[in-house]
Amino acid sequence: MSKTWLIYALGGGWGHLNRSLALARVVARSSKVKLISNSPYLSQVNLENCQIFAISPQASFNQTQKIIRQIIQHESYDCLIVDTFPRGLGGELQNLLAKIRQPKVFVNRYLKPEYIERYQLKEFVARNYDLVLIPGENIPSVFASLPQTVKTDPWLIRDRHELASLSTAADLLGLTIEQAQQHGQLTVLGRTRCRRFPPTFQPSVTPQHPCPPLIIILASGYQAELTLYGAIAHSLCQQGYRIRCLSATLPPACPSEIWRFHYPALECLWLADVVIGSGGYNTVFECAQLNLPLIAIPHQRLYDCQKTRITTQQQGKCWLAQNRSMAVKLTQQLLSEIKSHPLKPKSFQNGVKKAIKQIERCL
Amino acid sequence: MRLKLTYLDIASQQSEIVVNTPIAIGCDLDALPAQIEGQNVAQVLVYDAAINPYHALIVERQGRIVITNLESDRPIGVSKDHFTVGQIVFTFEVLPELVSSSSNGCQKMVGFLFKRPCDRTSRVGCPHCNDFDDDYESDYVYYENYGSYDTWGYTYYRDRHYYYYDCDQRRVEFTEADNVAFESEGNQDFEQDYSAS
Repeated sequence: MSKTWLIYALGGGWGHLNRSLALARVVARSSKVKLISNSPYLSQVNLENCQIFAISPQASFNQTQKIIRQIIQHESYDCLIVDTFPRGLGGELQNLLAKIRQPKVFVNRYLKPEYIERYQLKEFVARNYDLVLIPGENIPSVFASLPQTVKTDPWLIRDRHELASLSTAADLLGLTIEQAQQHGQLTVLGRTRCRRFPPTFQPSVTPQHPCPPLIIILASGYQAELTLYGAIAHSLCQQGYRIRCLSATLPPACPSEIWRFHYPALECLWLADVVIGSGGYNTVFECAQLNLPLIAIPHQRLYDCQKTRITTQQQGKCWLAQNRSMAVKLTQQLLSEIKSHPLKPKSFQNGVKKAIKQIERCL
Repeated sequence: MRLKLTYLDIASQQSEIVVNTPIAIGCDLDALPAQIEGQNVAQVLVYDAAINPYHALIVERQGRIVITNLESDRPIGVSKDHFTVGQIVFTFEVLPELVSSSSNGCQKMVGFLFKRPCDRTSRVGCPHCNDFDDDYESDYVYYENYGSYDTWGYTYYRDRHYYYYDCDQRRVEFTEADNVAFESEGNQDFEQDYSAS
């Protein structure tokens, strides 16, 4: 009889939902998955055969807390996986966890030290969780020293072989095949940048001259933050760059002809030469695994510190930009550096399978 | 010469226009000239039984306006502040000429709230010409419909308190400047917001 996994994925934006779905969709092939989310983007994603408990992002604090408690207390499941917030995003799990007999797994995305210290989370996690998984975060974690902690590669919503083909990626981004063939393999002075995805793709023609690079802007985060990405797209468009802006809605000021929405963006992201986005978990690690240069703008979050994640990433792959003007300047500078310093290849690692094996040992 | 013409149209509604001389008046647009002696002609269409397709031409001569009836090739009398074409009485007012910039300075418009010509005579050291990020136009992209008071100004003023903190949603709308300013500030408002991350 297959097991049932209950995943707690509360939190705004794409991050918690996307990371949890990355795990859930693989688990759902053999087990039953129930997922709780209040992301405003829930209606725009493939739910990957999971049973979703969708809580309206407009629900009040008390309503949300009540619904979560009901689900946790009355639904049947064989293990509980809690993303990011060990006490629950509203503290609602604090008194529930001790009563749950099923294995409990804490997924440790970065948390601000103030939050950890204030609620003594290390002790709380040690007392209440059977397994702690750190999915790819390079920032030192206080939970790393716990005996039940296991570190994995970042959890990605797609495996290497699931990335879109050249023609599909081109179609998704509104490029012609000829235009698409120019990207992901910048050729300058007879050298080709060592990054080719998917692995089966071999360019039939090697461009003899530098082509206009493709910049993909990943406009995620809160609605108010889209304005910043729209402004960046506007600035770069005026300078004649080839740009695509991927977001759930058209950012203000972004030219509509360069805007696309596709979930998951990872499928077609490999075609980019440079990515501009936030310092959020998914953006940073998707670009890192695709070996894509990322110009990352840190956004303020209550529990996450995007600036820390950006600066902790391996140098030469992720650049910190504090504002629009810095992002635009870095893009220009970076594109010229890519031409003279080809990036090294790296294999595409998805930590989901290792995480599932670890969780299955607890069941 | 710039004139403000006021008259009652066919629907007895008062119309007011500001035009430069020469001015052609008639009831058929096709009959009115677009240029006379290389000068653009302002075309004023009025509908009245007594108005010909190209009825009258107003020109300036030595600081005074002269109106000619094209049908009879005779001048039309001008009183102190009005004249009559057909049955329509036009009241006019001479407006001061718009001063055109005579300097050789840069005509690029700068300034966000109060736009003005840059007027620098050299691009050396000019922040607007040497740094595209300070481009005046690109500043506007942050503010959709900026300048249209009805759609932008009204809502901006109405919601001005919410640009910083939405007390209902407990959510702060950050600008880039806020990003930097708040970077080191510890936020102690934990476990109060389900849309946080």
